[in-house]
Amino acid sequence: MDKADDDRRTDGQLAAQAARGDSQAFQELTVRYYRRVSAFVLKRVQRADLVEDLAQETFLEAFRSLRAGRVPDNFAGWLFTIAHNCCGKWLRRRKPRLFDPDQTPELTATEDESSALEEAEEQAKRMAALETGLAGLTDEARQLLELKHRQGRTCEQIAVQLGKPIGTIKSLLSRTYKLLRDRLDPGGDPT
Amino acid sequence: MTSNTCADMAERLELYAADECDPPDREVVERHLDGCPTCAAQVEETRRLMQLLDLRLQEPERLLRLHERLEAERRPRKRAMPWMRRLAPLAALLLISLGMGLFLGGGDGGSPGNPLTVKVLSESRSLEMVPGVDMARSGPEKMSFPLEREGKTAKEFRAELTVKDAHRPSPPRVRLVLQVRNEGTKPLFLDTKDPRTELRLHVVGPAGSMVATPTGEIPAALEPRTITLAPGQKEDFRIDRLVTGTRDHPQALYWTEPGEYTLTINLRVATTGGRMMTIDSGPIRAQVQAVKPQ
Repeated sequence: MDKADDDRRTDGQLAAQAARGDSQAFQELTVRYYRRVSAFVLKRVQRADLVEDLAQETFLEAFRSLRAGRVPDNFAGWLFTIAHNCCGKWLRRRKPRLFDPDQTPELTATEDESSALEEAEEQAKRMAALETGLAGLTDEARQLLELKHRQGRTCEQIAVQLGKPIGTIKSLLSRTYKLLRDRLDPGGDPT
Repeated sequence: MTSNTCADMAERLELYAADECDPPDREVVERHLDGCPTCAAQVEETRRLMQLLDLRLQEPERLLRLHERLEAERRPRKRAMPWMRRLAPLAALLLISLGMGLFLGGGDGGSPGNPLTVKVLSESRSLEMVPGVDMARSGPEKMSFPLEREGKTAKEFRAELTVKDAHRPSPPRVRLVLQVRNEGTKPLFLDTKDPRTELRLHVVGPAGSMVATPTGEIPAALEPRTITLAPGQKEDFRIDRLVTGTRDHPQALYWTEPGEYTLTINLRVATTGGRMMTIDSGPIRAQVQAVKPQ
């Protein structure tokens, strides 16, 4: 099966093939959904450092479930429900069961497949807006973001690496963030 | 005027959100943010953008790691030989002990050049039998703490906590030490003077309450100080009572029923260049036992 064939197959077909043991089929599903699942998880738990673990847990659970013979009718909805449950497990484990003495503790409402999917779509739109913003950046700005966000460098380290004054790097970083932020939230306050 | 000040802030807000402000600038920005919700919202929005950028730009490596995990999942597991099964508990214990040399930097900066050992020690007598052992990860030992309800029922005790004055009971004593050791080759700078320094205590268990601290006391671990840890050097952060939060907003936690609780300690502290790092204890099992009033 080549890449073009992968692209043509629907999620349902890929899920069915993955359930029959086709590892490439599941890999293709991870490529299709990894970004959206990660963005969904980030929105849910609001902790960037947890996203990779929870996204990984989501796909592993989906993989095990498919291997056990469960093929969902709606793969996306099913996958985001798994992601929702993984986040819920973490939130229940980590969130202190502490509450105002005057109030009865609230139980987290369970959500159905469609609401998880709606939330995921909302985050997918933000990711798409970010993608458009990134595509419009200069090479210099993109390189700066790669060094900062992919390699975890500080402005000081980047300035040394690129042989530029730190003020230039900081100024470019500030302008780039502002540009991308406006792209994500076009109606925001332009202050 | 606020508008002028906002204009002055323009470039600095983004850098502040990215922890790239120089200390004098940072103070100026923080003073401004205290009185300007618009700029504070902008900082939050920039931080959310940065999280999305991390997620997007680190995706290739993350996807690769996921595929490796899936590959490992696919591989059939070899059946352990009988002697291996007998040794398994010992091997697990060894792994846990080795796992103590772990740096948990959190997602907000970290200090990749400085791996840390994080230990949680207790001054309670029951734990002195195993000094220096990382209680959070090293075995079945459980920390035990008294439930001090001053002779009241749980309901009466909880009612006491709603009193909005200084007569509320003191937060439970825990007397823990979060011990951090620099395992790296470079000095590690920690600055608890930074106003963003925060001690987060997460408690999960049968029943509890969180209210403002009765006397406004702040966690001892948040005493303002600057520390430079040379390679191999240790530093203790004391946690005497269940008080969580920042110096400006301390909150008291109370367990109100006996039983088993899980306690996690996160210390968020500034390091070189004003970057924030998180020191995480991992989960600690705590047995809370009712005691008779004196």
